[in-house]
Amino acid sequence: MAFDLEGLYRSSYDAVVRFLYRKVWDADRAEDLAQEVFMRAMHHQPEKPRSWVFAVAANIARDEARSAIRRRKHLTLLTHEPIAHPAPLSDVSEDLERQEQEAEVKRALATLSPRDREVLLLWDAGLAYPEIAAQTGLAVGAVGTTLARARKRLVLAHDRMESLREEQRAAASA
Amino acid sequence: MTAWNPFVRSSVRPHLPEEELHGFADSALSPAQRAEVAEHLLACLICRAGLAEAEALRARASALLELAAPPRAIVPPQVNRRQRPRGGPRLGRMAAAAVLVVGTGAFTLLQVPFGTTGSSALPPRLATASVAPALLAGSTQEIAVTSEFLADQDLARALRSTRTLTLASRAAMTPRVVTPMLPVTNVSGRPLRAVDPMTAVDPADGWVSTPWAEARRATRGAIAHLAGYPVGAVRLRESSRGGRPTAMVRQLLPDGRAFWVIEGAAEEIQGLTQLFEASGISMSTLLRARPDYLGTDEAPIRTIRMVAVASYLPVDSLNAMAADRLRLE
Ligand SMILES: [Zn+2]
Repeated sequence: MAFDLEGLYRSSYDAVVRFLYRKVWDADRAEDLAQEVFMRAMHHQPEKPRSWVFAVAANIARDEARSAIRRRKHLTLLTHEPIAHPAPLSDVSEDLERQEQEAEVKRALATLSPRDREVLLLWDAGLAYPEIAAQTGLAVGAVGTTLARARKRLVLAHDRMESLREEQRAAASA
Repeated sequence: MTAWNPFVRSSVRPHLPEEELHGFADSALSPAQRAEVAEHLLACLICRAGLAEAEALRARASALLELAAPPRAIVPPQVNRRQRPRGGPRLGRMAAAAVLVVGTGAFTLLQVPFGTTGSSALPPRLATASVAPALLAGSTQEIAVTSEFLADQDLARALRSTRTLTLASRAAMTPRVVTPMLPVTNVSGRPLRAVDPMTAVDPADGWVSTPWAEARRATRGAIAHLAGYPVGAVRLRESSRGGRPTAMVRQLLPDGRAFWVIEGAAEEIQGLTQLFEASGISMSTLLRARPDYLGTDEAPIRTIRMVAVASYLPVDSLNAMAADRLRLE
């Protein structure tokens, strides 16, 4: 079967970017890394391209995590310096709200075990149970269990933070 | 806890475990499992409640993850969104060429080096971009730009633009052009690596990742790109000479491969050419971009700015892409 990079790209690019974004938490970086993933795919022409790109994305994100901290500090310094930021087009408070929501999800995700988190992200990326199993080393039967637990933990952790925030707000206004 | 249930025919089957409910909601069960679960659900109120709970949890988890998603890929404003790859790509002549390359073992074809002129003593020929506007002479269109800026109520920029106009007209009368040093390159036989030069450029070297809208402002609306392709990322670097920053725009072909449009003062582009060359990436013929006018009113200097398209594609394709789609505004 001919390797269909275009089809792969169209069906998975967004999902790969999202998957990477939730690991590196930087949109530009996620796009850069996704680019790298598809370049490697072009080279390797994998047999099971969809699982393959996520496996490679996971590896790249892991490598990235090892070397990221120093570079990210550097990048942050740079991006905060030279270019004057114009007033954002969207509503500022809306933006802040969105950022806060994202931070909560990020923290909630961080409370999951690495394996639970990986399974959840792979599911969200659109992989099927057998593909998730192959990538994480779990038995296919265990994927449902893991996913059920991961979802529950994510939602619980998030709700706990949310109620904490509500309490703080109430306390602040009282 | 097993509640007595008058509808359960074969009595002993316990209630459905949670993972099976999630598997059912995820359509991840085998047909046999699925039938079994469906049959149990039909008869069991408790498990139907369990399924509703699993479905709610599933929906909430997905909704939460959706909150933690990157902003959508930026598309140049004049591009019709329907042309984006997701919405069904339009394969132009160039994309067809790209597919051909993939199908025939890309990397031997891609080794066509930039600037193989046969005799290396000759510098690569400068072509004037077919799309390069009459801005070199700097008259009507420049004024149009000015009024657009005024309409934007951006006074500072309008003033700068008028100054540019003044300098441009004086430079036309007393030309004092900075001569570009153009690279003579020959990269044939070099091992190729698939790298993204954008990830390879050192942030310490002054390259700043910049959102599209901001990049347009920083370059005074003149950021070179190919119309019709999503922009993945933009890096800008302040020019040592002053004037607009050097820009590197990464865009995506419908098949997911990247190409880069680089634009900047000729000598800065030279440095970039070397970077690309080292990565084994081929480049289109360098085209002239809109110049910058620097210096004082008495001694205006017109800088030469160049633009090129780079990718892991044959030079011919890159030139065709540039001729078809290059936008300097
Ligand atoms: Zn039941």
